[in-house]
Amino acid sequence: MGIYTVSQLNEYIKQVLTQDPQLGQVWVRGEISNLTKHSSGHYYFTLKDKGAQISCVSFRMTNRTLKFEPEASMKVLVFGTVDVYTVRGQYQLRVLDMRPDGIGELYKAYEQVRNRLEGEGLFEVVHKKKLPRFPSKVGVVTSPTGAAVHDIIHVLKRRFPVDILLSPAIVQGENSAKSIVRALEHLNRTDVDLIIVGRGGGSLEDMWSFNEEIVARAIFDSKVPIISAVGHETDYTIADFVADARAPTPSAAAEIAVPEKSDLKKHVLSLISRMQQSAMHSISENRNQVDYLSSRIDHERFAEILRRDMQRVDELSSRIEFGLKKIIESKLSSLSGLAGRLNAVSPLNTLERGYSIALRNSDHSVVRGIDDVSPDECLDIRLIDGTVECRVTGVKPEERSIGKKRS
Amino acid sequence: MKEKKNEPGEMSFESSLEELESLVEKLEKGQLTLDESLGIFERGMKLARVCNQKLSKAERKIEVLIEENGKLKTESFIDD
Repeated sequence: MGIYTVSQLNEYIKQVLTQDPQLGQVWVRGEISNLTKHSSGHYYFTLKDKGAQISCVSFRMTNRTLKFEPEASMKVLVFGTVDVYTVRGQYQLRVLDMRPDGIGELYKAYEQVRNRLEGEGLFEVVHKKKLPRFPSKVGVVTSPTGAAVHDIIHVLKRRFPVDILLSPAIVQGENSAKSIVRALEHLNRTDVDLIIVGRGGGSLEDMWSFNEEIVARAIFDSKVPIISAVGHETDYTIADFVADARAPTPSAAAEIAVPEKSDLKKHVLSLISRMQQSAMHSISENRNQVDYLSSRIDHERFAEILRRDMQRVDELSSRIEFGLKKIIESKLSSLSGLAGRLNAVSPLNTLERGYSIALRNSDHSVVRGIDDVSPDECLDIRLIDGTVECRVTGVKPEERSIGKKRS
Repeated sequence: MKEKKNEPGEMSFESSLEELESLVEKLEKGQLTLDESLGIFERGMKLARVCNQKLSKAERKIEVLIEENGKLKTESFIDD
């Protein structure tokens, strides 16, 4: 072996370290210190325990996938690969993934996510969607093999009839958050009108996926209303905060989701009886009104009207009678006047005085002169007391001299 | 205000029940002619019958969603 340059030595050391399969993928437990978050998005810190420390770098690409925000003095589990920074001759741990270590750290991470999402307004009441009163199809996001799905189906079967669509998800461990997100997205492409997302009880770690930001955001983004049902009575998961309703257990979620059948039956029955009562009430009210109105028709008053009218009829008829009588009388008197005048010019008076009227027998026309008759014609001579039937034997015209002689 | 009258048989449980509830309220408020009351009563009874039928409906589907090549399909789910 000759003499190395510094670069060559560091390169060699780097090769040795990076080729060791043990060091290529390693989990390390420790506490974060000297944390620097560079403006480039890369994090530099020291991971330490009581007796030792190691430099760590976490590049921006990795930081984007972390489920919590690293903070100084946080206890973490780092998954990474041992690398050498040849510029400084420094070996370091390049972080590939990092998790909070232990319950305390989990809570810290939980607080972080909760505060951030709360700050963004994701939990606000205005965003809560109204649950349908009577869903017709309920989507369920949970493990197809867990107790939760069994409990939910069991409860729903006793209640108002609904269809159930299970969208299977892993609800625990490594890939659970992504799986829950995908299951929610799938249900949003179906015709379910309500979603229950949850799992049965477990430790905080078991339920961790329900505290993850991507799950919270998927619940927030869902167009279908969601009831969260992560099986623990007291603690809230982030999913609980962001969901439209929260149930302590999957069974309780099913009860919230769908009304009870017997309650509904009672409700419908009471509506029927209220309707019947109203209808009966309406009928009897109308009957009373008819009774009241008919009682108001006053018989005595009616009879009086009748009497008054009868009297009026009598009065009118006697006035008609009187009027008629007067008319007749006046007609009679004018008739007698006319009769007197007629009498004055009556030929009967002339006959009375001894004159007669000659009428042709054939047509009863008055004979006014000798030219009106011919010999042998029959004439009727009207006298005051009868008719003389004559025959013309001859005519002679009147001689004026005779008249002169006589005078 | 008055929506078109659907055949009660074709209505969802929810809209049947909601209409029934509003009819009962209308009846109880009075201020209707007898003919109107009886018409509402008749329709209300039809709706109530539909509600009861839907409540007694026995069959329901329990299915599981399966993704296959990016497409979703359903299969019946047997819960034991």
